[in-house]
Formats: sequence, structure tokens, C-alpha cells
Amino acid sequence: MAPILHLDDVSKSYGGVPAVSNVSIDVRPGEIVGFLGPNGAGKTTSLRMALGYVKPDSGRVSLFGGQPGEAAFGRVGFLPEERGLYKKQTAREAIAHMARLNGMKKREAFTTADDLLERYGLGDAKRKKNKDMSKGMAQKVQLLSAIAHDPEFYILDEPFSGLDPVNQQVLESMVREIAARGRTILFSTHVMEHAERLCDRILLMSRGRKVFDGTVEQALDHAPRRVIMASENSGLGEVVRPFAEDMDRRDDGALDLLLKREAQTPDILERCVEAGVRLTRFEPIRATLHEAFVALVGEDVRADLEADAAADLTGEAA
Amino acid sequence: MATRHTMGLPKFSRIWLIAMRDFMGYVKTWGFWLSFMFPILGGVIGYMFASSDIDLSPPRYETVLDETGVHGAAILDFYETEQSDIRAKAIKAMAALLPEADREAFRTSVDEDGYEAGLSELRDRYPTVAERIEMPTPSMIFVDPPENSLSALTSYLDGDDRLTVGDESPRLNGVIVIRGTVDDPEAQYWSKNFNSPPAERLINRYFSDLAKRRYLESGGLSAEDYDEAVSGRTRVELFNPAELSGEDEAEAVSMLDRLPFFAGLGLAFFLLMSIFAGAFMLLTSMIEEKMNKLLEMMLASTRFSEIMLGKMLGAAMLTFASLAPYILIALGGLIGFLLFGNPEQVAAIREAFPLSTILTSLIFLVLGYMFYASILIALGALAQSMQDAQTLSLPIVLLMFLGIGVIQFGAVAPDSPVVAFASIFPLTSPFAMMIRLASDPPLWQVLLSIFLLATSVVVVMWICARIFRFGVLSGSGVGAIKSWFRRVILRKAA
Repeated sequence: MAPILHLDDVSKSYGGVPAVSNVSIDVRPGEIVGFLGPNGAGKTTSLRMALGYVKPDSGRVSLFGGQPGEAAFGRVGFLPEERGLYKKQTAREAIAHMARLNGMKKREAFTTADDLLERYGLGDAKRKKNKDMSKGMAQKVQLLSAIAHDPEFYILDEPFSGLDPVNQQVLESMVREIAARGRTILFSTHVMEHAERLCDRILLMSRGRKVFDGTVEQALDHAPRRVIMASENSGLGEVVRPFAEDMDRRDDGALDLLLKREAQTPDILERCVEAGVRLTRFEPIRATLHEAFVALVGEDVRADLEADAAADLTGEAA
Repeated sequence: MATRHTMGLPKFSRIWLIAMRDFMGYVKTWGFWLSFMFPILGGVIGYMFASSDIDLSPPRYETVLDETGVHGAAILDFYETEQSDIRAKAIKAMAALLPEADREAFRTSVDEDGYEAGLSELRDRYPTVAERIEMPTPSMIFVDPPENSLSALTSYLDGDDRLTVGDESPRLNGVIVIRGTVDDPEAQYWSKNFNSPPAERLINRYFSDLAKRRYLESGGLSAEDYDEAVSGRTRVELFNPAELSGEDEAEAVSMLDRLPFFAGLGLAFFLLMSIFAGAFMLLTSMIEEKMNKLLEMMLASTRFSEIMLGKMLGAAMLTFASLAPYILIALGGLIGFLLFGNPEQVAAIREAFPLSTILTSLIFLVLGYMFYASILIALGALAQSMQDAQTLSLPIVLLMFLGIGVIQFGAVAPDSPVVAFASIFPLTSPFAMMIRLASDPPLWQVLLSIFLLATSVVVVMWICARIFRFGVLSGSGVGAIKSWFRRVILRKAA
């Protein structure tokens, strides 16, 4: 099936500083694709190139099989990273305005706006001015503005950013509903858990380059595996050391093993039996996407990710 | 949720949606309705004052202390003569309402017998006309001094003591003091109200007239003869060579002939006002949308050019809506005049404003607005804050002053080479050509000016769209231009 979006070896620099370097991306119909990476990884620039807002310095972009631009008007729903609304518009006016710009008739646009507001728990705020709404409500209204015309392709730039956990859950449900209708979704995020739960496929970006393109499972294969082990006997550490890349003793006395790439858990168990070690705990820990990402891009990017996470926490607290 | 959307929405629909959103955003504010209602509120307040007993400029009570024994009484006589002349003028103006055959005789009788005789004649023969006379009220009323020294009158000037005039007790506004001798008088005016007082002007007129009389009399001439000679002087008449045809005697230039020139001036000022009024809206709406990233969302469904044109149209609609009461009053008056006015004057106005002139003026109005509006939108897209916007728009404000200069210069010398150049140069041509159109400039100049302005509009809009795209999507403003300048022009490393 022909991809809806195709970025072919695109690069873009701002002021001589590369933002995106030689990135190729395909998004196929019906997929939910997560676009992951820390702030400054080149996600927003790539999305802007996908929409035709920014022309790549080199490479080619194809949206719905053609140049991005007017031919795609009405077929794409775009939510930019930073949010805002006209302060003096009401919620329904804001949604209807964007729907009408996307080709909907006036009456249909307002009916849709009312339906969406009811469906997502904002029925009471229909006629409330945007300036009087909470940040979370305003974000939901802007998201509804981007999707009211029910486009074929949703491009959502950091849609979860700034939302509280309850609204993040609501947004996840919305994404699943949209996907269930067969629509295609590309969303960027630096919060790996959302991508892990929602995506068919993830694209990992780091410092302007694509470092991974595949399923979540494929990404997790790159993550280091860990096992928590405990025993009644002494000497467990010596027995399992050949399988461990690294090993820590936890506060409860158990060992936390970071397994070598070739190490297999049945082999570890077998070795313990042979050595007469009676295990009281053997708990393989599922790797996270975050760990996979760090493994893929290297330790030097870990600092970027941690800084983003800290910024998120500060933002939510504020 | 809708199942399908329509593709290929006509461009104008999107322009209109953006224009209407911007327009309605401002129409829903108090500020708009205050300015919209201003002429109506002004009319209501004016009517209330007119129908109430409140006198906005009550006459001032003045008195004279004269040590010469001559000039005090002479000043009062001089003032009385002036007042009689003013009343006679008001009575003579009513001649326009009399049958044409009686007009001249009536004017002559007022000149010869005075305004009171004229008023009696009107009351006897034309009572309905007499009812419509509004006699001008004098600005000053002179009373005898209640005390004979300036120091004693101080308490009256301070308002501690009051005059007694019939049943009223008004405050004394000022004292004219004439000292010295009859031949060498000195005049002073004492008052707490010293901002251009009418008494001071009266004294100046009196002594000016006295100086003239004395000078003429010293040469054996009379001031009356001199005044008559001056009023019977040859007067110059203005003619327009365009009106000269064959052996017919051309008619002198009248007020009607000057109307197109005044209309051009009016349109040039209207354009200036539209740009000034729209400038703030264009700048602030661009900054708001840039800051809240709505523009980025809109760009997924709208072209850059459509957003720009929508904003221009919205600002233009707002300007028209704000001025709607004035435009409607002017249009109502014009239509009323064309339908019910003097047929000769109506024909003259129609001749003075041919369709081609009206259309050409409209072309310059629209192109001029688009030219400046696109620059302002681009500046708004580059600005990060209102402070940025004010700094960036300063050159445009200076250009506007250039426009005002052109209008003023064009009003005095519409055919000067400077105005001719300004009417072709795109930055000033919208203002200058509107003024020049009244004096029938060569067709090639008009066409060249339209071509250059239209080309400039396209070029400016193209450049502004680039700046707009750069300003909105780079998320940066003036700093980014500096960086670009350093990198590309100065070839310095980023």
C-alpha cells in the first residue's frame, strides 16, 4: 500500500545549524506511528516539512502521493506543539471555525462542534469563552479543532504535553477511537510510555537523525534485559556473574542483574540448578522503551531525556 | 463527527472565513461599539444641549474705565456698529428665501435703512421667513462700571461681588482701562479670563480703525471713501481652460468645479485613516495568532496568501464598519441631493465626477490599502511582542507622515513636479494621484502609476509572504533577521 507520507532523505538546517539530517520516513494508511525523541531531536521540523510549511534543504517530501500543500487541505488534521486559541471565541466557535476552514459547511461545523464537546465532557463549556477555560480544557478544545473535520491523516505534535494524567488518559482513548475508524495517526512525543501503549510503529529521532524505525517489540529487543534474583544459599552472585553485564545488590538483599546480550534466562536457571543454588526469587524485568532508546542512541542522549522529563514534571507541577 | 469533507473549497471562502473571524473578534468588543455609536451619541448630546436652556457660550459682561473721556464711548459705539453689521448680514442672508425678483431690493434696503428696517419688512411681508431668522447673540455685553477705580473693581473680577443687571446678578468678566490722553491713549484689559478674550480683539480692531482714520484724515481723505474704494475693487475670477470651447464665453471656476479636488483630498485622507485604523488591528491580530500558534494550525488547511488577504479584508471591513455612520450620512446626503437637489447643480456634480475618475480613485484606494496592509502584516509576523511591533512599524508610520506631506503639498500645488513624481512613485502614488485626478493628469501617467503600484503590491505581497512564512514558522522575529544578515550578508559563522 502506498504510504500517505513519504520523507525521502530530507535535511534541514536553521542558521547553519542542522535540525534534521538525511531522514527517511514512511507512514502507511491505518498506522499509528509514534515519533519519539527528546526536545531538539528534529521531530517538529520533520513534521513541518511533512506538511510543507518548511521546505527541506535537500531530499523529497510526498504527502498523499503529491507535494504537500493545497492538495492535502481538508485531508490532514494538524495539532501544533504549542497551543492557543482566540481568547474571545467560545469553544464551539473555535472548533467550528477550524472545521469550516477545512471545508465543512457552517451548520454541519457547529453541529459537529457541539457533538464533540458533549462526547469529550465539555458540553457545559460550549459557550464559554476560551479565555475563561482551564489549560486542560483549552488544550482539549484545540485538539477537537484539529480533528473536527475527521481527516484521513492526523499529525499531532506532542499532544500529551501539558495534560494532567486524567486528560492524558482521555487523549489516549481519543487516539484509539480515531485509529479504530481506520484513520492514520502520526504523533510526536518524548514520553515513551504513550508510544509504547498506542503505537503500531515507532520512529526514534536523536539530534536530527533517525535512529530506529520499527515496532515497539523490535525496539525493545535493543533494550538491555534485567533479572531480579534471590537465594537461600550464599554464592548466587558468583554463579550468575558470567551472564551479567552488571550486577547490583538491592536493599532487600536480592541481586539485580543486567544481562549480557547473549545471555538466556533458561541457561541461568540451569546453571543455578547445577550449582545447587535454591532460588527464592527469579523475576525477569520487562525492558522499557526508554531503556531501548538509551541503548539505541547511547548514554550521551540520556541527559537530554532526563532534562525533558524534569521539565515535564516542573510544567505539570506549575 | 462528519464522515467526509469537501475538497477544493473555493479560495474566497477561506479568505472570507478568516476576514469574518478577525472582523467579528473586534466587533464583539466594547471599543468598537463606542466608536461606532460616537456620531449617534454626539448627535444625541448635541440635540440635548440645543433643546435645553444651557448656553454653552454665554455673553461676557464687560465694563470700561476711561480716563480720556473719548475713547471709552467710542469703543462702545464701534462695537455697536459691528453688531449691527453682523445682524444686517444675518438678515440679508434670508434674501435667498425670498422670490428672486425681491432679493436685490431687499438687500439694498437693509444696507440703506439698517437691519431693523429689514426685519420689520420681513415680518410684514414674509412672516414665515422672519420666523426662521436666528439673530446672532453678542459675545459681550457692556455695562456701566459699578465702581470707579480698578482696585475697587477687583472684587467683581474675583467674583466676590456681582453686577446687577435686571433680575440677574452676573459676574464681571473684564475691565477695559483707557489711560493717557485723547491723542495718545494707552489701553489695558484686565480679566481673569485671558485666553483670547473678545474684548482684547475689539480694542485692537478699534485702535486699528482709529489709526487708519487719523492717517487718512491727515492727508485730507475720509475713511468711508477709502472703504468704498476698496469694496469696489476689481476682483479676480478663476477660469479653467478645459471649459473654453469655441467662441462661447467660459464660466468662471466655481465651488462645484473645485469639488473633485476636495473629493480627492477627502479620499486621500480616508486612505490614510484606513491604514492607520487597520494598522493596529493587523499588527495585534498577527502577534496574537503567532503567539498562540493558531496560524500553524490554519496553514494545514489554508494558503499563506489566503490568510494575508483574509486579514486585510477583515481590517478593511472593520474600518468601514467603524466609519459606517459617517459614510451612510454622507451617502444619504449625496443621494438626497442627486434626487431632490437643484437640477443644474446635480448635473454639474455628475459632470465633475465621471465614472472613470470614480473607478480610478477606487483602484488607487484598494491598491494603496493592500500595499501598506501587506507590509504591516509581515511586520506583525516578525514581531514577538507589541514593543517589537511598535519598533518595526515606525518606518511605516514615517512613510504615512510622508503621505500626509504629499497630501498637504498636493493641496497647494497639485501640478508641481514633486507631486507629479509622487503620484507615480508607488510609496506615495495612492495619496498623490487621488489629489491629481481632479486636474486631469495625462492618461499615460495614470496608467503608469497604476501599473507600478499594482506590480509593487504583487512584489510586496510576495516578499511579505516570505517574511510571514519565515516569521511565523521560525518562531523568531527580528533576531532571526539579524542572524540571517550576519550569516548571509556579512558572511560570519553562525
